[in-house]
Amino acid sequence: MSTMFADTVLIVFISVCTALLAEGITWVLVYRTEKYKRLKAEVEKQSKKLEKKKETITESAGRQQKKKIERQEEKLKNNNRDLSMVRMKSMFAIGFCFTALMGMFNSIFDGRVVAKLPFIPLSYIQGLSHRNLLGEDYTDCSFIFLYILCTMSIRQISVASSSGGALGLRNPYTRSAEEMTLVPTSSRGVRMGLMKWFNKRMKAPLPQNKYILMAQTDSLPPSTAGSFITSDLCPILCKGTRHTN
Amino acid sequence: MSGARRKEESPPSHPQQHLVANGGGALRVSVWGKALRSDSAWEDKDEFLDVIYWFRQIIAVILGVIWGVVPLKGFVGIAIFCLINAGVLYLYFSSFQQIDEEEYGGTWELTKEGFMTSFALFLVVWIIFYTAIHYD
Repeated sequence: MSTMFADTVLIVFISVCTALLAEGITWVLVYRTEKYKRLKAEVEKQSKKLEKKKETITESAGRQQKKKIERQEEKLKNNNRDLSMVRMKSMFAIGFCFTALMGMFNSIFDGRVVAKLPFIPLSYIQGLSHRNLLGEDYTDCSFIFLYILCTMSIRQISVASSSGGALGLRNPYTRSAEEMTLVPTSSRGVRMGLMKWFNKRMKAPLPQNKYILMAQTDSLPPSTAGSFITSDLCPILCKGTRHTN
Repeated sequence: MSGARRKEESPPSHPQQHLVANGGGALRVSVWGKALRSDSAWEDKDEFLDVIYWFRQIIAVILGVIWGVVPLKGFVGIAIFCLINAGVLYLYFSSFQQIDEEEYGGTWELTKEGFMTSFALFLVVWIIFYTAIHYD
């Protein structure tokens, strides 16, 4: 096995390990705590109740009913906020660990071509794919690009598997809770965006079809890539210089 | 297709008995059994979206291997992947399963379900196989 292919396999393995590490840290600091379990159950129960209520409510529903729904939405909002506070600890721990790990891996793989790309990336992606590599052959792949791709696929798949398929990520009420708990810092941007949208939307009556409602949010995966790059890797990407001859 | 074989293997009715016998394992089998039978009834919308998601990942792995082995290079490879991924799933949910797209928020929602994850997975598999076979 050549060195390059060995590096490729190693990076995939590192990506799997870091995804598991992130989940592990989150489990230790968040998932197994009583407070988190209680809050999560509460959020799921309330969101199911709220959805059922919204499905049965009619245009001519009384003010009493609408007020009741608004109160339930407020309660749900507060529980979601509490859930995000519980996750704060794990976010800091993961951020710290990953900054250290990325620094270490960057220095190990610095200047090494870890794979060959079967395509030439777009010019603005070459900054990532050809990072710290010598020469002008843009089919040379650097550690960071392959790591990002692996993490984008592996983390999402591990989230989808652990939540019983992608279940839970589509319900607009539990989605923000699930995202905060099952998807580590890589989707922080989506999570914050979703929370803002969620808080804004709770003032307005919800459409009957929850899928129309979900269509109004950003989809998880594209934003995940962007927020992963900015939130997880920004400290690393800002460091390091391109080697020139 | 293996859907026909699944029909012969599993009892025609009493899915609840299967659940009692095997617990979660039988539940997963019945979801994939439904996925491989045409025009299945999907009471739980999330279940169908999960099937779409996982089918996308499977297609990504298969195409990544083929593209890496052939090899198919350049943006043509990426474009063909996107077309096949979107096209196959579109045929699956519109012709094979004959579902009402509006119930799921429209064709676009179904098309983008799991697309980016499958794209990342496709790139990883493509790069690995291309590097292993053509630059080893």
